[in-house]
Amino acid sequence: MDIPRERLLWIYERMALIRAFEDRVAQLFAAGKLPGFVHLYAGEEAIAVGVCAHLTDRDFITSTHRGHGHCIAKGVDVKAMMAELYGKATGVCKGKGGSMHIADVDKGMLGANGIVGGGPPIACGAGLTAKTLGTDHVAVCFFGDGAAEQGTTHEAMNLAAIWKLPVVFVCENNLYAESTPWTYHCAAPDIASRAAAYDMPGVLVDGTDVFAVYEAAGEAIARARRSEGPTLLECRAFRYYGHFQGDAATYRTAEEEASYRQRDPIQRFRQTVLSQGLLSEDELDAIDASVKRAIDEAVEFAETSPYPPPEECLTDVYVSYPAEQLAFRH
Amino acid sequence: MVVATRVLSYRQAINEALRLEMRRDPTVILMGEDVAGGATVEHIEQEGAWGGPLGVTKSLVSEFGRQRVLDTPISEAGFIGAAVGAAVTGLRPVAELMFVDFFGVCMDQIFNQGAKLRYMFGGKAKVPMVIRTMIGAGFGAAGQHSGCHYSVFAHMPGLKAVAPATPYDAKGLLIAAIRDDDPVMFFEHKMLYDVTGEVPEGDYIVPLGKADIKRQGSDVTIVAISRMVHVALQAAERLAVEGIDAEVVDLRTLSPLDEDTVLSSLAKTRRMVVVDEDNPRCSVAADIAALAVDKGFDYLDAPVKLVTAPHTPVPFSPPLEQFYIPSPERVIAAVREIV
Amino acid sequence: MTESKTGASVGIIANPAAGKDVRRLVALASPFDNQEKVRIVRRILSGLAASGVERVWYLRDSFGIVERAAAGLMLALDLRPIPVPCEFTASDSERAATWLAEHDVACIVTLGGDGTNRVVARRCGTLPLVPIATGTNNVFPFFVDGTIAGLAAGLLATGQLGDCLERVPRLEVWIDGTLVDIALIDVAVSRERFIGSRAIWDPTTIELIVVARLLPGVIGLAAVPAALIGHTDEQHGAVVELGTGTLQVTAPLAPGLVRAVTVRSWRTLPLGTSLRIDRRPCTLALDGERELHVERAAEIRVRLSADGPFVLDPRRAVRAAAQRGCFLSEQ
Repeated sequence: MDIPRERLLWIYERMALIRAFEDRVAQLFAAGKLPGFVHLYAGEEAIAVGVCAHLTDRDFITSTHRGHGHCIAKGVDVKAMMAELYGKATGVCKGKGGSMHIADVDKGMLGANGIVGGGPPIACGAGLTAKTLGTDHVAVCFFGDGAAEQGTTHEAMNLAAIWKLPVVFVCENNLYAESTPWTYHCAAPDIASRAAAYDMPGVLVDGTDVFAVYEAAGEAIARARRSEGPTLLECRAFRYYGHFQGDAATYRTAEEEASYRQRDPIQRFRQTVLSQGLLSEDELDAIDASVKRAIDEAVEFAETSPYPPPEECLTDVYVSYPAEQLAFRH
Repeated sequence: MVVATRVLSYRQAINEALRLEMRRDPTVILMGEDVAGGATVEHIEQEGAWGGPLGVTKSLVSEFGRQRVLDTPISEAGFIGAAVGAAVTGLRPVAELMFVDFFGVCMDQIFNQGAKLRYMFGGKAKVPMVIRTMIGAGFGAAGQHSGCHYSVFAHMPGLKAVAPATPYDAKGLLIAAIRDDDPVMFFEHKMLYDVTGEVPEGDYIVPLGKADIKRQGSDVTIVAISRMVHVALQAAERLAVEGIDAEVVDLRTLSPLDEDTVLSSLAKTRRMVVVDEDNPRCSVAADIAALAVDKGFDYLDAPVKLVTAPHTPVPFSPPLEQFYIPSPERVIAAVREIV
Repeated sequence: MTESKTGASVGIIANPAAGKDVRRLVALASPFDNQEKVRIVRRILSGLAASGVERVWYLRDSFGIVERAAAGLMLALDLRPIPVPCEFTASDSERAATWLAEHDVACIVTLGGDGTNRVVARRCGTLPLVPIATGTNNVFPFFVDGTIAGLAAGLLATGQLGDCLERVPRLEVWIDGTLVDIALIDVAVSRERFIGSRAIWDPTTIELIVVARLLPGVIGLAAVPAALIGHTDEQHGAVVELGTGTLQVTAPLAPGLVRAVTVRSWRTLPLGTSLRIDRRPCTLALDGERELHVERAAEIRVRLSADGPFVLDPRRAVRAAAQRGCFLSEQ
């Protein structure tokens, strides 16, 4: 496996952008600037970025409630994302989706999903489109260890297997489904080996090592593009924040959290590329600075953007529908 | 232009709509349990086995192949969700939910995903999918294979709901539903499959959201849905003998609702009975009554009467099932109360 | 069973991550599911109990392989988790092996493949291993039923076996005069830049393969020298240089992955000798897994040493025990 320099820079930039975005969102949320609630992806950057590095805008992904990282890795504009989290008219979903449904179909991002296990069947559909139209596009289904126990996930894996769909199932096992340890909720707590039940390769990957994810995902995606069928990757990583921002995460110990930080995906990446002289400290620092600027600008953009007018509530329900039947009756 | 018509059954009309749309548009695919049947069984791989449990999709696989007529595992959440995903990414899937009663196992994919994606994505997505599903009692199929339940779907923003009563409407509405860019629930009453009627050759559209006056009348408006249109028509014929001239409005589409046709009929007759095989609470029938009271209050000379199924599941035993289904007698009795 | 030494202790290290790497995707390896590891451990425990072992120290893992195995078994075994911190990574096995080597334990039963055993062997010193194959490449461990492995380990622990242990060689990786790592089967010098998903399967990235032993019927890079030189009982390893040349060797590089590789040269490597690795930068794969990336260290040497782990072959042990009448008793 070789990774061209430009792609190494891209990988670092995307991981840094996700981290900076999530850390800022955490602050903004704590400061009461964001309505609703947010689920943060910090700590899991290597998975989204290592996978999406192999995708184009014509490939599709389905995501989870923890979807900001997938959006950024798929190239969704961070200004429009931040505005969406604020509920502003300039949001990528015009303020109608929010954090939990953030999406950009033009970028192949089929949405964060408020329903755990909502995405896997949809990913099969995206794969079915590619197969039916004879393209070499693929669909990647990100799902968590919690969703691994949903029937939809199993149905989707089976469907993808019998139809040999170009779908890669990426289980982000961050060890807890909300507050419940995966060792409790999973009878075979090796999600990767469930692939055997669906006659597809199942691989356990270190989800804190972007090189490991990049390599395994590259193989799985190439396999899907060759019409050889689906793959299940289980990537283990840690989420630095709680299930949602504000969750005190009392179900984890301080030592446990400290041990996560020792395997920080961004630091590991830095260490590798610096020790090998692939990228320079100056280059990485410059990316850090530009990422910080991008986030500052995104916040500025979001804060100065207008809220949508109330009537906006009544649009985008359908492509065509009598307007008077969408409105209040009185 | 003279368009040739023939007599087709409701089943044949639906089959023809699917066939024409699949010929016209290569992105239209069918998927569902046994829509072809016998997948991978060598001697019927070409022509399929069942063509749907009641043969509605029969022989489509011979023309379009297994790539476009997809037998699915019995995984409704999986394949209905796949239809959603396929629709968002460029196909026009027609998924078959064998019986509407099975919505319980896949509702999330229908109403949380399919129905809401466009809205949640700020209008960036289109979900041009159709879910064909069988409704209705009369088959002795009891509690889990006999409901109507379209009211549940008509209630949900993001979905359209269509329930044809005749072969002509079934074909035209299904073509319209397939070409529509929104997710459409298409309710086929299993007791109507053998009903026949004139159906033009070639493609034509019955627009979604347009009701149809199936019988002109002046004394009372009977609004009916799906199989109940036929019950209403029978009642109207018998009422005519008594000198009561009933107008029968076939709603055809439940969402959006053709309020204008309903209200203008009411303005003409000033009396209304709604006949609906669905359960009565929060139903389309109740919604029509609310419409009459809200926007047609000044037209009303009498209370609006609802003739619906009772608030029970569908029973098995034949006399119980017959009791459950609204009959012409009950419609006549309701009309007599207000005329 | 005959009289046995009391208070005998055995360690179990069952690697929950073994048999799940990328070779299921890039080759045709089977997933080794943890339920099966539970069943194997259950049989091991039965064997251990039957041969009179009293205490079992085991490595905790997130699934609880050993706890689940013991649940419901009415065995007079004192099961204790090895008191080391668990991060649920490979370093757990290493810490567990270190602890076992420092305590009064007779042997370690391992469940894993070559990778797992390499990690354990790095720290177990002279404590014997009873390795059971549950990995991807399983050249080092034995394909043997857990019952037999349990009996064998128990017989060893209770002093009922004679000299059944074999000390196997190992390959040592020395960087600038320091022993940094070992391999039990092979060391490959690869042009791969990154450790990535660890497993190594693409022969075009490999420059050199060093094997500790020439073994028949092996899978992995060790299959290349085995195919070239054939099996010999002599205690020596081999070095194969890949690259341009006229000789192609067809070898199973991973389960289901048979590839032709072009060989430039090969030779045997006598015990006690070492060779210098000159390529920079390079990635060293140890027992089939990329482990070390070396950018510009002054000197890398790979040495074939006789100081590998002591290994108990369960079948041989049980045969020896039968010859000694260990399984006989008077009614």
